[in-house]
Amino acid sequence: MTRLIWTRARKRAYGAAVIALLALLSLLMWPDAAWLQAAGKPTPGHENLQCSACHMAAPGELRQQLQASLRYFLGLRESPAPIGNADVANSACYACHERPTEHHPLSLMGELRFLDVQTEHGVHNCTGCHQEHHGVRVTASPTICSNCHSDDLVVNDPITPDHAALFASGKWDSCLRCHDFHGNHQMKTGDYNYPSTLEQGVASQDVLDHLGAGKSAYGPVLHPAKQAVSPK
Amino acid sequence: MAAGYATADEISASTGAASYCGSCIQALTTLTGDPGGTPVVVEIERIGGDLLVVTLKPIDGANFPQRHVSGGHVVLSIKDEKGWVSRPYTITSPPEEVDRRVLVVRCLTSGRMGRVLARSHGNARARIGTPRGDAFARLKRRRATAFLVAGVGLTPALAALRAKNGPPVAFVHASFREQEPGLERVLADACAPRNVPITVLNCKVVGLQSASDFTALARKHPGIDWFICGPVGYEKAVRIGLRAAGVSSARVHAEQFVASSSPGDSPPARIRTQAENNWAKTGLWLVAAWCAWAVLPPYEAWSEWQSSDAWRTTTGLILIALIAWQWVFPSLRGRGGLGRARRLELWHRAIGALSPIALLLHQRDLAHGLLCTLSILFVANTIVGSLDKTCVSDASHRERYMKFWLPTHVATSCLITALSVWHVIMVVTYRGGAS
Repeated sequence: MTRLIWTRARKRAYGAAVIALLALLSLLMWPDAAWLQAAGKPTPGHENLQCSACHMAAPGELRQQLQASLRYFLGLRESPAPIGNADVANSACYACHERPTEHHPLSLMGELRFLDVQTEHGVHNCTGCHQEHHGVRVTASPTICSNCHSDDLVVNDPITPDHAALFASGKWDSCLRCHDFHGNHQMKTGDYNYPSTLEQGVASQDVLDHLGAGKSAYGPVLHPAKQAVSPK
Repeated sequence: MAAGYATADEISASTGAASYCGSCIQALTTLTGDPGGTPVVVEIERIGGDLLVVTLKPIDGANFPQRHVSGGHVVLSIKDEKGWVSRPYTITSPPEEVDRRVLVVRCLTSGRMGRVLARSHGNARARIGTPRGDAFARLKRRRATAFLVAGVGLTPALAALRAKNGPPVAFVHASFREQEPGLERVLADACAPRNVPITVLNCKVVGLQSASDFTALARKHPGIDWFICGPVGYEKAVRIGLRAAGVSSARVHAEQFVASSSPGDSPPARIRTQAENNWAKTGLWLVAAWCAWAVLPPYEAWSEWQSSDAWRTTTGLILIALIAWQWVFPSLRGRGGLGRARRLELWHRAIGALSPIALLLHQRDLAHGLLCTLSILFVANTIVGSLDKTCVSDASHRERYMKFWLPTHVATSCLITALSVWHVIMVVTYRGGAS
């Protein structure tokens, strides 16, 4: 094997590289700088969570994980095997966000009749709509309601314009102006504790801000998140 | 020196050193610390571009003690802040002119003598050595000689044309890299008294002359001698062309450009080639495109397309392969495989310049933390790579530039490689939610 020729210029250059790599290694090993390693900004409210709050070790040893992955790539196994850390499970979200009341519980969203929308949008998992490391509360489209509610029929519809007219005109981005998806906010307004006109509801821009990283568009939170994971 | 010779000129006269091509004269000057020779007044006439006509007259107004032979050369020594700098030049004035010696010099600021002459305003302390050599010694005086010259290599032709007893000149065929009105005028003035035909080619317009052009020329003029002077590539093409036309090697004479340097001189600065320049520009344009992408709002359809796992895996693997490939070049250089490394250098530049495209295909957004740092370092390294040493023309500045450039490029490349490996590990071992 040919030996490397270390000229003075090369020594200086690779000396600088070693210093830079040591600085990077120190940064990677510094616990307070763990946020730098995340794929993106945390979801609002998750700033103080540790990585291990959501990322649990995958089952099996590394050798078994690699073996299973290889079998999957060779077509000898049906599903891919996680290496290192497992997929983030709903249980990790429920550790903080399990509530006594829920308008769209996972038990409902996981029913077989919603198989199409489960396959397309993953609505049977929290992460289907709330992907972490995007710096926003909701990553799903604000018109996602259309997947399940396009055939709904509201009898004696009290609102103006009525639901049928809104569905017909495809205004699916207006749903969240009157409906709090998870029902975790106090939204008492109008005769039925709901707005009866779109004007009484939340402004479209406020809804978008709420789904993003802006302030909450709805009323006070009914069941705040539990502090299941101690903040750093 | 033990025999009492104190100057380079004396050693050269007594031993014959530096009398053939003159390339080692600087080493003798550095060894003795004194070039010797006759103190002269330097008169400089700029004839366009980087070309100078340098007229040297003895400082006391007398004649030079020796007549030179037509086609001979002389060593010019000028003092700069580092000491004496000595270089050999063909004398273009006729031997009959004993009160002056005239040189035609291309003044490259990348060279030490070029820098001294460029700064000189006629007040330089200069000396001129004893004339040596006879470039026309092998020419048969009775046979006509065609001069095939390129660039400042026309000096032997000037010497032959101006000398009363010089070789008979059949014609002069001069090639210039671009229009050189100064050189053309000097050549025309020298040819006019003897009615010697001249052909002047502007290579920027007609392209570089190939061996076949010279074959055709030689077939038109059988039975004459050929004298060549120009850059190495030019002389090689002429020799091949003349051989193909059946010209005997005894009829082909050449004077070669020689490079001299002082032991402490900076290495000559290599000029950036057209291809290298094009790749550097491409890299900088692509970096500008990446910056525009980073600033402008995301294009939704493009982002959705990029979200596909297969797409991201494929483009990610391409990026990793590009990064790995870029290490082949420094690895070859480090192991002393300079020839192979030189052949790979243009590929190294090309791939570095095009790599922002792979990044644009792979990257959905600027990301966050170390991932954002990785993408910024990646494009910054393309800028660093594009602005390599070949964009600095001055050799001494280039050396200083390299002291900062190389550590920056190597350290950034190492960080990019380490962060890419870290990114792959994070992608494989940290997964989002199950779908």
